[in-house]
Amino acid sequence: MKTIQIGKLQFNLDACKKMTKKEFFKIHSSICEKHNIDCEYAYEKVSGKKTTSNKD
Amino acid sequence: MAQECNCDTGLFNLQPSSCVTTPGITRKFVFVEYLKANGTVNGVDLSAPFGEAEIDALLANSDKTLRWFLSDRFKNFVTDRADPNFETVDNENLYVSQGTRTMSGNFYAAGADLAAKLDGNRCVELGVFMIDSANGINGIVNRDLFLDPIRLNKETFWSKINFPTEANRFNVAFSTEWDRIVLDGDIRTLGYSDHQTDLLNKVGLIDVLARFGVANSATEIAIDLYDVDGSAAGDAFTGLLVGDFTVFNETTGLPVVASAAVEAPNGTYTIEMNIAQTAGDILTVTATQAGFDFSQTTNEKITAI
Repeated sequence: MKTIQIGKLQFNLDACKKMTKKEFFKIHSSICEKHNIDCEYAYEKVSGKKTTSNKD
Repeated sequence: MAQECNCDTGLFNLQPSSCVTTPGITRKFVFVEYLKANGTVNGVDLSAPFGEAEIDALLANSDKTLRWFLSDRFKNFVTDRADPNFETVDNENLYVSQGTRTMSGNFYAAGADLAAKLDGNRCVELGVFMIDSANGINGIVNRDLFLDPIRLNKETFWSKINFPTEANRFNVAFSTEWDRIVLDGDIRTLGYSDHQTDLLNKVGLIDVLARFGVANSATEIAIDLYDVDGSAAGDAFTGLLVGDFTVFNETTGLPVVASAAVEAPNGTYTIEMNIAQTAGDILTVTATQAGFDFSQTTNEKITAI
C-alpha cells in the first residue's frame, strides 16, 4: 500500500485516489481541520491533481 | 512412547556411541498446543528443513494451534522426578509406576500479568520444548524423525508472584508437572548445529490490546492501542501507519478500507474509512507489525454512528 504523510496525517494513496474531490473532503475535512492541515493541499498531494494556483 | 517392559524387551547394549548429546541447563520454554487440529502431535518434522526461517515462522504463526509460544528467560530452574511408586509385597518393594516429574522456575523480568498468562496454560492440552543454555531444543522422540513436545499435565500448572523484600527481587514463579506417560528416557536434544538458531536471543510475540474504541462519525473511528507492561495503564503502542490497519465491519462481514490515520496522542489512533458505515454496525480494528500479536484488539467493538 502506498501512503503519504502530511503533517501528522497518513493517507492511503490507493484509497484516496479513487475518491472524487467531494468524497475526499467529506471524509477528511474534519480530521484535516483538527490537525491544522489544509485539506485542499492534502487533496492535491494524494490525487496528484492541482486544484489551486498558489499551492506548492 | 517407549514401553517400560513388554514381551519383546530384554537386556540392552548399554555402551553409548562415541558422541553423546545431553540437555543443557534449561533457560527458556517453548509452549505449544500438544495436538494439531488433525489429531497428530504438534512436533518438529525432522525429515524437512528446520532452521531459523522455520522457527521464525512458528514463533509468529497466526494460527495459535501451531504457534511456538516462546517464554522469556527464567532462573532457578529445577526439575525432579519423585521416587517411583512401589507396592510392598512380602516385605519386598515392587516397582509399580514412575514418580511424577515436576519443574519450576522464576521469571525476574516480568510483570504480574505474566502470572495470569501462565495460569492460562491450564486451559489447553499443552506441551513444552525446553530450550537449554546451548540453544538445544529438548523434546521427546517416540516416532521416527519427529521431535515432539514434552506433554504437560495442564491441571498442575500454576504460578504466583513473589513480592519484593529487602532480600529478594520481584518475580513470577511457576510450577508444573509432566504428563504421567512421559518417560525420561525418551528425552532427546536437537542441538544448535542442527537448527542454527539462537533461541536464547529470540523473543516471542507481544500482545497488543485495544480500548476506548469509538465512532466519531460515519467515516471516522478512534481507538487506543497498548501493551501490558505490569503498569495500571499499560504502555501506549505507538508508530502504526495507515497501511498497518485493517478495519472490519463485523455486521456485514466485509473489510473496510482505511483511507487515512493519525496518531495523537501516543497510542490513540483516529482512522478514516473510505465509505460511510451504517449506524449500528459493529466495527473492529486490527493491525500488523512484526513481533506483535494484535488478535485481541478485535475484542474491542465499535458501534458505527
